[in-house]
Amino acid sequence: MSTAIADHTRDGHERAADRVGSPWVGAIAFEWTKLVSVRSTWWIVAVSVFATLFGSGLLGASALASGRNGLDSAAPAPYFVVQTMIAVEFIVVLLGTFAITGEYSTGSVMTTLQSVPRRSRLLLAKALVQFGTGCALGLMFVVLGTPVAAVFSAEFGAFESSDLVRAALGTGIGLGLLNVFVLGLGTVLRSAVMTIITTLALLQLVPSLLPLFGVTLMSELARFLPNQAIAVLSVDAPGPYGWPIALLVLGCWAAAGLLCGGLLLRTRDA
Amino acid sequence: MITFESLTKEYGDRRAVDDISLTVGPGKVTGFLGPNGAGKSTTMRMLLGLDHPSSGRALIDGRPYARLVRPLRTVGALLEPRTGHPGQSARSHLLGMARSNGIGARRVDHCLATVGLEDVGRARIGTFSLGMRQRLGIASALIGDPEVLVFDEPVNGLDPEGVTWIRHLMRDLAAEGRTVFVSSHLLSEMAETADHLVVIARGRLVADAPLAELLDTTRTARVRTPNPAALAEVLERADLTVSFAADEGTALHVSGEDIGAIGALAHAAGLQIDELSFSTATLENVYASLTEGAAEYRAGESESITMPADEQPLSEEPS
Repeated sequence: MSTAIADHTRDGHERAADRVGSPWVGAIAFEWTKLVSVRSTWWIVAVSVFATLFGSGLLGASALASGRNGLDSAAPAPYFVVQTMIAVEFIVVLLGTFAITGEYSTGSVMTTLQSVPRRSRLLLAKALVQFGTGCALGLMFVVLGTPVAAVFSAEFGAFESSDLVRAALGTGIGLGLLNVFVLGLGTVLRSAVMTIITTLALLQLVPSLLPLFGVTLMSELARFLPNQAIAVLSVDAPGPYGWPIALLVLGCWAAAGLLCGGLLLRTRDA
Repeated sequence: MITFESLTKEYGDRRAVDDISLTVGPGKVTGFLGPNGAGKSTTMRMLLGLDHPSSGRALIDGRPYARLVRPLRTVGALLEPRTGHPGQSARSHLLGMARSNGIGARRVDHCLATVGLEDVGRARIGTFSLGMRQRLGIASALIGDPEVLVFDEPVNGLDPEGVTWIRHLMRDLAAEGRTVFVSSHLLSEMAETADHLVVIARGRLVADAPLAELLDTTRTARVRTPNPAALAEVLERADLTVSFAADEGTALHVSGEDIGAIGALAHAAGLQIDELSFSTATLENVYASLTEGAAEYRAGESESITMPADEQPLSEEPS
């Protein structure tokens, strides 16, 4: 039995020699392995792709019908896809939510913290993986959804390739940063339900509530919420501010979420 | 090598772990024994950097867990049966751990085989029985081929065959020169496995001694002799504790460290012995006296109300 336990190279110095890769690479590989090996990930991807395609077709068909009735409903097809994100983003952020709350609810956070005990390294590795996943999904949504929207909207969805690039990059980076913010939020709240509710409120409720007060400052603030920034980022149209500011705003949300999550992760017991 | 330096953990005004200083050395199985709620799990969680001590330190090879660069190569731990994510397969769970610490995938299959899970490596952990999860937890502990192993209640949920298997495993790990630190509230389990026992009660260290020594201190002998007074004098001179049996005039009860020398002492003194028998206090008795003593001591000191052990808060880790 004893030979079965030990590795053939079980010698402190010998083993030290075969150590390859930095702990950062290890931490990122670890998070990636967990993400792709859990079934819920693939379910989330499948549902979000389906929702995007369905929504793109629906919005395209609606634009076509309205346009034929003489309404000014024409828009570049990629932007129909972007519009579906207002719903699809809630499926995507489940990845960022479960990446941390799932660990607490299943107890696998023990395994995670034993493997990567440095809290900052752990959270940044998760953030990188979530950012990359959000980016890839956003790009994929726009690339897959645009032909569907284009077919259904016919002449009312004519677009330039620059529209497609803007929509794809903007949606990708937008979802990536949003996912990082939600990861941070989940680290603070440690509960999937609370994280989802808070995200929902911040993305949908707060933007429509703030202007109701009729105070200029509050209406102004509403423009700097994540959803508003994502909209600026992914559509080339006149907005309250340009894409660099939108990028900065989203970056700040992501950084703030991570910072709060990181501080609490460091000080609280697991 | 594991070192605790005045390790203390407070939850509000309750001291779950109270000033524990201890060294757990390599090459032996050290049993960490105490009733439910005594602070065993909390101590282990602090050792693994999951919980922060209120004061004091828990060190592995002189460093806190969080300072270990590739911790799985130094320490392997089984903390609770909920190892990994239920939606993940056993193999990908181990693979993730391996990758995080720069360990090759070959080691994953090796560890699955070691714990007898090679046929279910692709199955999701959520479908596993408690015993299988426990085995997976042990595979996780072994993944980095570490020098230090920490097991919290490892026999929980295992069938008799599994219990025997893990006993052998722990003995083998210790025989290879590793540090094996294993907690249990089951005394019989520790009696079978441990070389050294650490006993805590109500967060306090009440014993830290080799198993044999703990048993020896409570060994007693009964001697029957025609000349009890003379023999008592001889034995007391050898630092043994002697008392006259109440029921019969010719018998003595002897206790003490050198209890094995009674026959030789009597022979040297030319005294006749008619009967000499040894009885070992069960480890249960030792355990009970140790843990009860601590409870009384603590209650008296803090003037709090003593609760019976079974009414103590069950949870060791308020979340």
